[in-house]
Amino acid sequence: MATLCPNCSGNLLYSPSRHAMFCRMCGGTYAPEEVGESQRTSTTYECNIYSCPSCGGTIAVTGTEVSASCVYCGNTTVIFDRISTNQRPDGLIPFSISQKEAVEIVRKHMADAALLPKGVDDIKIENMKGIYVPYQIVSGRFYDSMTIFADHKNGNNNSVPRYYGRAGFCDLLNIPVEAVSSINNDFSRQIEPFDINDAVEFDEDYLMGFYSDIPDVTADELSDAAGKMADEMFGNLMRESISGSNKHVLQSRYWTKLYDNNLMLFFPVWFYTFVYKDKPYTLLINGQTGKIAGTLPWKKRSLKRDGIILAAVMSILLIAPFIIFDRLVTFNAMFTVGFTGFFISLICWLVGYQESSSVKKNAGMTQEGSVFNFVNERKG
Amino acid sequence: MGWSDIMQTAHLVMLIIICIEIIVCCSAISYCIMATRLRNRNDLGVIEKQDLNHLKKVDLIGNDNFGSDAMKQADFMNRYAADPFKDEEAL
Ligand SMILES: [Zn+2]
Ligand SMILES: [Zn+2]
Repeated sequence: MATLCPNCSGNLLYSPSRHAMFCRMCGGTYAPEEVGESQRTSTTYECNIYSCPSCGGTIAVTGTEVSASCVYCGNTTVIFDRISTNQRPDGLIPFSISQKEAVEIVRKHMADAALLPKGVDDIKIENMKGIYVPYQIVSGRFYDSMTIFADHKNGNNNSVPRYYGRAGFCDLLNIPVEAVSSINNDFSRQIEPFDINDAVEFDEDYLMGFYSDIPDVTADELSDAAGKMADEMFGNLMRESISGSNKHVLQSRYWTKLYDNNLMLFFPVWFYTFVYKDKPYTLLINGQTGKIAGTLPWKKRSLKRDGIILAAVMSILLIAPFIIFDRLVTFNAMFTVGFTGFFISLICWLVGYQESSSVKKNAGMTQEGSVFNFVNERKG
Repeated sequence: MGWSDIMQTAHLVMLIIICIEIIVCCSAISYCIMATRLRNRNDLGVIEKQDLNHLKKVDLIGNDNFGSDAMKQADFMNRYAADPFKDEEAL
């Protein structure tokens, strides 16, 4: 299954920076269509499936590359499972971000992150793995009905709530839907979009040096995911037709019917896995654009300590005048401080809670269990 | 206990209440600042708006404005509650 160098018979790997097959032994470069047996008439291709005894994740390898550690949980023993014959994708977007560039992107991401715990930024290049993730490019018919809220200003500059109803149908054209059930869609969508215009015809040679996943979503799951995305788009379109502020969709109900002529494309994604406090974290990097997604761990103690110091300093500064100027302590002062304090507190708790829960939600996606559903899947 | 003693106690109680109020308020502000700090650091997770070009030939069949009457939403949603593909399959 390996592609050999015509010059020295070394193993050829696809090199994103050279946009070509590269021989590490003699330095030769070749276009993917020049080398290897052409199997374009075949509807399938073969790959080795490796599985992880720790998390149950599986990964496909074409060529001679041996999977040294688990892409998903960082476990260092993965075992050869079987040879699998898969449906050939219709095309793929080759990696244009190299492993080194991907490491630089992670390095920069970590340098920008305050409160990063020690050791996390010690990037191990072998934990950066390029995986072709299968996407289905779907088209179909879509019906949607929704109600939308907007704030309007009346003559006295007061906000008046307004409600709208919109129902309609349209054709869906070439929506890319990630087709691996074990990768959380909410996470993979964070590194989209991919530019399909860069897609080339599928050739096994592009997989040399990379991993790939096997599409396993059902037609229903595909339709659900496409419907959810179409509903968002339809909502965006309808919101644009309404004036006012604070516009949002209140209720929506939609129906999706996909046509059968899906295209399956491989999209390039770098997975960087690291372990912090016994928990695996995974960052995703778009292998075409370099867009990165994933929440890094933070120093919980430092954050807490900073919070307590800040609160203490502010409290002392505000309390001091009342102690120094004894006369300030009156009923009036008590009520004023009480009322303003109450409202400020309320707003701050609400905003703070909202912010921290959005961080937690995203952090949860980066960590085990939610990024990859293997464990739950196997247990269920 | 003299009048001045009572006044002094009241004064002290008020001071303590003001202190507690200020501490609670400052804790809330600090919590909010720390949460925002973390949120800004992790300002990822943003899903880019989908390219609206994926929707072709959009045709509106319902286009109502209910003014400030929130209750009319239910009527609207009910009007389009049937699965449009049911009819298509029957044909
Ligand atoms: Zn060679
Ligand atoms: Zn694993």
